[in-house]
Amino acid sequence: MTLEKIVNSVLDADLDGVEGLVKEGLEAGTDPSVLLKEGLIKGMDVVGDKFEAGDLFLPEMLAAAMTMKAGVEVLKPHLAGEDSKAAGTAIIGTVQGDIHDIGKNLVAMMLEGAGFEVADVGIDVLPEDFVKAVQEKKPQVVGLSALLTNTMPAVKTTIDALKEAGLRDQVKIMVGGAPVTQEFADEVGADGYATDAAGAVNIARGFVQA
Amino acid sequence: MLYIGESINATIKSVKKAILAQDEDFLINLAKLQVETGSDILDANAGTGRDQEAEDLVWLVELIQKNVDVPLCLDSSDPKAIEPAMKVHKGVPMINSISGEQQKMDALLPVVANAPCKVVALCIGNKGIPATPEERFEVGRSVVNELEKAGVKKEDIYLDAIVMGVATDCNAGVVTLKTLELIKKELPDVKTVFPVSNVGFGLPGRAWFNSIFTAFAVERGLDALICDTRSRKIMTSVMSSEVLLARDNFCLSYLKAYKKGLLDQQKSKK
Repeated sequence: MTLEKIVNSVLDADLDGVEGLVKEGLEAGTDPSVLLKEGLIKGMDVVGDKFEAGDLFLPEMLAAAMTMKAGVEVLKPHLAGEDSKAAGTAIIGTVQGDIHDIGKNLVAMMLEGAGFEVADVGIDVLPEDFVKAVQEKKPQVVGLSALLTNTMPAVKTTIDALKEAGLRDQVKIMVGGAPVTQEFADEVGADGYATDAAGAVNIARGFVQA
Repeated sequence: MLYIGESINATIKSVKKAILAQDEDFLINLAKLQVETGSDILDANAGTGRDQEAEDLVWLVELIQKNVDVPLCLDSSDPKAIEPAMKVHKGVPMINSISGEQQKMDALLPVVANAPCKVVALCIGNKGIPATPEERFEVGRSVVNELEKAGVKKEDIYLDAIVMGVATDCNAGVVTLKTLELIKKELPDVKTVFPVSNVGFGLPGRAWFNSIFTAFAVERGLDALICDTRSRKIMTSVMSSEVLLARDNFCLSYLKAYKKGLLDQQKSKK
């Protein structure tokens, strides 16, 4: 069964095999949205669960996300109407003064893996640039990353800037990074916090479903 | 090797707690342990996230230097915290850190120009961390130039070639090592440094990555290491590397450290 093979190709990070399998599925007449949801996305879900359980490691998850992305590229021209629409739109970036990008990149990749359209605004991002990005992309989800205790205040500054620009009610904000805690997230008025990338995806999903 | 003890850093939860609670005993003990295990300089980072980093850092510097006789590495991204800490510091402090980002440069150059100090300089430019060794080296060279213009001597500059995790980029280790080689070749008077503990991030057996990567860097001439000197693995890695590279006559430094209990305690068969 091709679907199962697609799930496994994502799980095994079979970058060479995934495109052929997706094409095979298309040629066999399988609905592209089924190939996406029950093949590629399902594969990435399993990867996320395994990572959370400690059965998969960071490089394996990255390789799986790239595999999933390669499969999506093949599917894209065949997805029509509703199905071509992303699960949601998210913008993500590391706050002003902070240049850490590993965690932020990982969350971005995992969100893409979960079907989100992701605009990665980069590292050391000024509050006003987050505001600009929200105005342009109109995302449902904003992800803010901070890896240093002394850049954590910039998370609050960014959230405040979104408030001031009158955009706060239009987005759900999630925060993360090594020194960030649930307590901090509540304090600065974020809507969600996760300890890892898989957790962040779950939160983002919750945001767009709500 | 110059060892910079990394452990008094507010990004570590227990240390943050101790600084917030002004728990002197905890911090004094941490300082003493690090000096006993070979730290030549102690990093001091008081960035707890509360809005008084300058006061906290000054307090921390005075507390540590009252109890151990080593210079400190004043660790903050905020020049407003560095400047008053430099004023109360005894001896020549190390400043951690400056980078090629214009904003950071503008803020810190006047501070380091003012008084004698050593400076940790990061190979990071306006566009972030360059991906190739050549670009990363060029960014490093331009920071060195700026520091020299401000009056800092080459031998007081410790250039950090930036260690990234291999878990997210398999080339990360090689890029750092090649950058290190370029610095050694093109700027022989400039010192080199890096923190060791993030190369194995996200991988099982993380400690192995740290010690083997350290050995590679020692071979290429790394001058200073920001690390936890209480870690026997790291210390054994550095000191056995020095022996293997014929930099430790009769293995005397190695054996002295072994007898002090700083190294792997496994005995060899007679």
